[in-house]
Amino acid sequence: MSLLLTGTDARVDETKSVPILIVRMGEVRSAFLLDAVVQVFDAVDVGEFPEVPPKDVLGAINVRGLKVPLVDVRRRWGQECGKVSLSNQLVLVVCDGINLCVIVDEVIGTRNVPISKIVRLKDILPESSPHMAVADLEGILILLDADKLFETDQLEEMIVWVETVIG
Amino acid sequence: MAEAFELLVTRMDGRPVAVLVESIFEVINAVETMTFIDRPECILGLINLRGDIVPVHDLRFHMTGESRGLIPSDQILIMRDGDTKIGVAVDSVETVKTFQEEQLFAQSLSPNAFKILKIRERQVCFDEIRSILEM
Repeated sequence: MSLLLTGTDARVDETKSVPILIVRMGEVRSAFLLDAVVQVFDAVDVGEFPEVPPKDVLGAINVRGLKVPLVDVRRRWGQECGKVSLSNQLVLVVCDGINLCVIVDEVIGTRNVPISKIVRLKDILPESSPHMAVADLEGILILLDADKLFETDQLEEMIVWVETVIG
Repeated sequence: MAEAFELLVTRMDGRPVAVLVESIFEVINAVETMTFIDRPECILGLINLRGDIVPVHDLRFHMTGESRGLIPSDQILIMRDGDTKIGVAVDSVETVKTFQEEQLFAQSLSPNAFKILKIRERQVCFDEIRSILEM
């Protein structure tokens, strides 16, 4: 994702568009760049773990041999979080080279968005943010930069924890 | 000839805050804002203003450190920061008034002098009246 809009004076090809996967988190719509998405599947019961998970991690799951932390970013949206409901869906994304399962309320579908319509939040906010936004007829879609969803040390902590609990 | 300054006077928590009219694109009524991931407390959310994505700053939070969200009677100043539009939510817009330089100077000496609201590099700032007299 970072490759799309790097630098302050990057020229944008008005004709190009990128495919995204749109999800719903509570009342809001968000999206991942489709390139970062590996798989989507329905929620599963993650059970209990003897070791307390790191912040924003609900559990660990095994996806076709991949041991993956199940993360919940709804807290960071100011939403109710911390529980997996069977109506939720899970999006397996690659975050800085590491597979993560992100819990969402619903996967809405895919769409292409013109690169010229994507706004970097760091260009309009007082604080830096790696994420982006796109204005559309339904309002605003927040485009998450999967690579920057977590800090490197957070990702390392998650991986160590997953190794501890499911080997 | 003494210079004149056109200021839009708003009110927040009963206190007057003035904005140079030239720094305002438009004023709109409160609309529902959209939250986003890792939203800073000073931002109420984003709005889609005819295709432009505009962050709405919470002036109350900037002035008092507290927030009550937007209510229907609030108004949003759409201010310019270069080519970027930045929204600032206020309780109400009172008037647009032209102040002569001497009037502003006199106002600046008052203990109840209003502050001048500005946007600088996407940040909400408050300047003393003297700052515009010295411009």
